[in-house]
Amino acid sequence: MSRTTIETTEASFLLQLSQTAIHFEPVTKITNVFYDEVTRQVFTVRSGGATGVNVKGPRMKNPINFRVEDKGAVLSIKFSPDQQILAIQRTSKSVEFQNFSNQVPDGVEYSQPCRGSSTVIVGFVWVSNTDFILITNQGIEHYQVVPEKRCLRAVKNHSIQSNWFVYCPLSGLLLVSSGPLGTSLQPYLFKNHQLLRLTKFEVDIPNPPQPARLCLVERDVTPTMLYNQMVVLVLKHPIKPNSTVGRETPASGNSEIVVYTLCKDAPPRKTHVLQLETSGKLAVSILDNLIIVHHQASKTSSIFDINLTGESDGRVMTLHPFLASVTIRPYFLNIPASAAMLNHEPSQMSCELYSPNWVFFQSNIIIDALLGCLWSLELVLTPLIDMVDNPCELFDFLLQRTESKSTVMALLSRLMCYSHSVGADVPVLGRVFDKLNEAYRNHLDIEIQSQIAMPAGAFQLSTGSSSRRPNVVIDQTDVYSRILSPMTESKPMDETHDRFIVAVVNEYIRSLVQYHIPVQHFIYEVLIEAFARLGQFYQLHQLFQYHAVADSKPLACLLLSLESVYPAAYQLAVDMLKRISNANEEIVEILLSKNKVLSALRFARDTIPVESISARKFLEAAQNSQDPSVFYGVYQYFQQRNRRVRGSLAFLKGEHCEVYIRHFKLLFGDGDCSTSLTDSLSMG
Amino acid sequence: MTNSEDEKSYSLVNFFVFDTSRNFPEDEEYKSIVYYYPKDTSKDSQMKEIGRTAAILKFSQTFGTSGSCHSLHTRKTRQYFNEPEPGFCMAMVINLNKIKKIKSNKVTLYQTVKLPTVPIDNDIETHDKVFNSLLVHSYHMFRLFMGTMTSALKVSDQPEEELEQLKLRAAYFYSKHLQMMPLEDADLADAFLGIQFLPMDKLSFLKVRSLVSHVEQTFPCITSTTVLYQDQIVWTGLCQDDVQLIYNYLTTKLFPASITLNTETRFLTGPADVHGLSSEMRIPHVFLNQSQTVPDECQLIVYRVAGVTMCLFISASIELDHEFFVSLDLTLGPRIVALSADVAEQALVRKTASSLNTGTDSIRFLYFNQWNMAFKSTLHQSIPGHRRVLQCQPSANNDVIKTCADLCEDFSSFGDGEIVVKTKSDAWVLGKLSNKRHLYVVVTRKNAELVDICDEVRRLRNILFKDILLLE
Repeated sequence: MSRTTIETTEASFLLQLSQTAIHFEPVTKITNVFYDEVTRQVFTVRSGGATGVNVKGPRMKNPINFRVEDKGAVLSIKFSPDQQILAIQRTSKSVEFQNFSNQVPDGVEYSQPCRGSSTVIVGFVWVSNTDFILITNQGIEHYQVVPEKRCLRAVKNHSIQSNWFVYCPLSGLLLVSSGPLGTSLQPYLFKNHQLLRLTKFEVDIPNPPQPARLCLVERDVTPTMLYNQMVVLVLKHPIKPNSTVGRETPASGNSEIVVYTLCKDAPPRKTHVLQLETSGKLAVSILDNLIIVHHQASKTSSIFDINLTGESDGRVMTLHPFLASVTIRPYFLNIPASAAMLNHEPSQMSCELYSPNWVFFQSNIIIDALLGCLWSLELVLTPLIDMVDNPCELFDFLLQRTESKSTVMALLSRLMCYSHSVGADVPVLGRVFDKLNEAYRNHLDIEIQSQIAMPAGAFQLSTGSSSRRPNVVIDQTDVYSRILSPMTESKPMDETHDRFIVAVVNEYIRSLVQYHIPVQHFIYEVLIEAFARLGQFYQLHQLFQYHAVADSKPLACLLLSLESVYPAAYQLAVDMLKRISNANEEIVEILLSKNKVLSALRFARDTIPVESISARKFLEAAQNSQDPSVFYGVYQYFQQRNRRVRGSLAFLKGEHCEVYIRHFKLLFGDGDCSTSLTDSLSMG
Repeated sequence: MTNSEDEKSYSLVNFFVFDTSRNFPEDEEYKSIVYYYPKDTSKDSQMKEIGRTAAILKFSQTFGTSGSCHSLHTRKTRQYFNEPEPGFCMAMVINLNKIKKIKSNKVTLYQTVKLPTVPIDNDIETHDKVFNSLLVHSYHMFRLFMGTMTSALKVSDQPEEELEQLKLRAAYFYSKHLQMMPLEDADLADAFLGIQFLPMDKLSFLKVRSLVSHVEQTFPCITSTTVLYQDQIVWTGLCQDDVQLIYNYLTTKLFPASITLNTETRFLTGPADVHGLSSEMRIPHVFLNQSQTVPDECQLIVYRVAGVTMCLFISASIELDHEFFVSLDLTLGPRIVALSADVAEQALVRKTASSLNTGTDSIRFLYFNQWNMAFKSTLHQSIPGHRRVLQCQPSANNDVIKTCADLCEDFSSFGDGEIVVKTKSDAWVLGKLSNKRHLYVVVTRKNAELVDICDEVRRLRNILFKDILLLE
């Protein structure tokens, strides 16, 4: 995979901090700040809560303010997800709870100590509104909180020696580090109010220190969800060069991220290695299924997408950053008006990016504890339009993103315009169309499945990773209205341009056909019109000959309209109508308009129910043909038909054939038809 | 091949091209002869023939309703005339041999539809349509490779000098062309001069189109591309008239000639060895788009890999160096190889499918669509690199194909319709013309009735021609 670097010009920042930062009181001697990844709330605790606790978060409309009794320094504080119960940890032995109603504490605390006298609490986490997990150095304690009774009911206890833990609220995955090195990771999955123990796995450390000490730490391990898969990212730092037995020291000395994928029925497996090409202080954000690695020293970030292809050894895929040296757009803090007045400075202050005070939380939260700001990290796709040097990979990337449709469309139309100078050549366009249509196909499949209304279970099974609901669907209408139609309108029409249009549309149709997507007639029309402008009718003919154009009445009509410039189009049109099952009436009309009355009648006889053939229409055409024998034949045919269907030669009143009956009498008389026919024929 | 020596029915007596617009002094009239075959004919005889031809044409003009005379029948010869360009005339005379042998092949006609009686031409059927086509075709091929006759004229006071260049070109071209003229076994197929398209599914076809776009985009000097698989056309960017000639040239001359080539040779025209630096170039020039006032002179590069042939047309004004061919080879080679597997598979599937459909030898057909020049025949057997061969029971061979030609001539006089006839060799031939589509079906079945034949034909149509509108 090629590595693409973007120059940092004004418009080219791919990452930005959310415009509305959440401001909170910065950390001071008396103020402690806590962040809860589950509820995404920042707790500012002043004087142990006695002078007030302030809770803010990106998901909250209004902050919550309350007071709690100061019973000592707060070690950790977290709301239950519905904000009905507050948990505060002040000692290493117990956690206190308080019920809330209408964002006001009821003032009665109840406490839950951990099991065993020598046990020390490592931390706790709310996994549901009432399920509470306490992680101690001896094990995992699962409790059900009963707020009405102000007590906790023990559900289950898993015994494990633990160093630290991380929890992913997206998947409900709790990861506990154990062992002297901390490299043995025990995953637990919280599901349906149960905590299930999954298969344990080891993170291999090339040179374990002697004597053993903790060498895998909490902040280097990130459990998350990528493309609906539970994964654990482990950041591995290069081994220090002073390590004595450095035989396995990586030559580059760069850090890497190892991705472990958790499967349902198999132990976690090492699936990807992300080459960071840097080392030092690193932090990870997860955004839109991307892994964004921030490097503090260089003040840059790298973006990885595990769905892009890398170098694989059959088991493990090694990836390089899809985008390296990306920086976050400069951020300006509004300074309160009074302060600005005093200092005569602009009312905005640029904010230090990648500051040492930044703390990164999952999945995309950045907190500057000194400034008192919380942002979420955002991805900006539009600058990618300029990266047309490797369009295929870029489309791979964009199609996996949410909200990328406008960028995809812009990029696509860019490719079409660039054709002359940069040279988006036909095979590349073909591959791009293939990518779009693969997603389009998946989308159609899902639509069909939902229409069939399969039971939910079956549906789940059939949608594997390949037919995941695509983020971006570019359908034929999009391509027509945004790409093809502007192409045919904007440019001055010259031959090269038309040839390019032909190539593009051909490629698009090829791709649609390849993915078994029925092509709509307006796509063909672009192609047909371009061929017509080029005067390449014979080439157009071949397209029809190979049925590369799907049959439809609108196209048959378009072909008929081309007859004056290309006579063979008539043949193509009627052939097409013949293949369409319900177009026999149209064929009859066309034949009649060509004055082929007898052919039309024979065709009608073979294809249309005999009683529904309009006698008047044929007799009129036969009369207009000025050929008495034709008129005679047609007239006789309908008389015979009348006899067969109704038992009488006579025409019905409703058929309005009186004028033709008179015409017949005029030509051939009333009596013996055959003699009068010979007469009239010899006359004519 | 069924035409053994004793059956050889026609031979070329002479073939000549002469100028009719320039005035030469009485004793120098032979200078108006542009080309004359046989070469060793005395000037006197040459002059006599030309004089006679000029007289016949002049004479026939006095009756002229539309244009001039095209053929003249005598007891022992057939003479064909063509005025390809103003001021030029060409003619060929064919000798009818072995009359007795042919006599036995006389046909009886059985007509189902109102018909003018087919004239049974004394003892022998030659088909003016077929031989006239040969003559006209010989001019078209000349024009394709040499340009128009007029374009070869030099501006000069001396009429003789004016024609000098043209005479050289005609001698160069016709001396080779006449050797290859399929006089003995010419049949209706030579009159149609159709194109065989490779049947394939739309996806493979679109892939071929995509390859063509790629090549034309990568090498903008290429004005047009034609793709064949073995002897069948998959795609052509040429106009109909041109592709008809090019196709004929490829399948009857270039491909047969390259059978002996090393299989490694990819450029059938172009450098003999693309990897050697000093290799010689052999690139024919062709004149395309004759309907334009100035036809396009193009270089024809024929590149073949794995059975797939690409014909690339590049303006004659562009100089092609060795590097061009190397990069062409690099671009085309891998893509064609990838494509050919697809195409070959298609061809195989279709082949088995079609042989299942048509089944036995007892029913065969010849189909030609004048609108797109598509030609298909199970009366003939096509062997890549060889001229097609008739494949009926030997006794019925001439009989059947000649009947088809008869019917074709009938159609040209009265338009769309259907005719069923029974030949003396007990074969039934159904001819049909519907909107410029010719279909001739031959059913050889013992004691078949007309009803059976119609049923057979209907069955065949429902299988093979279900996608097109063939009117009753």
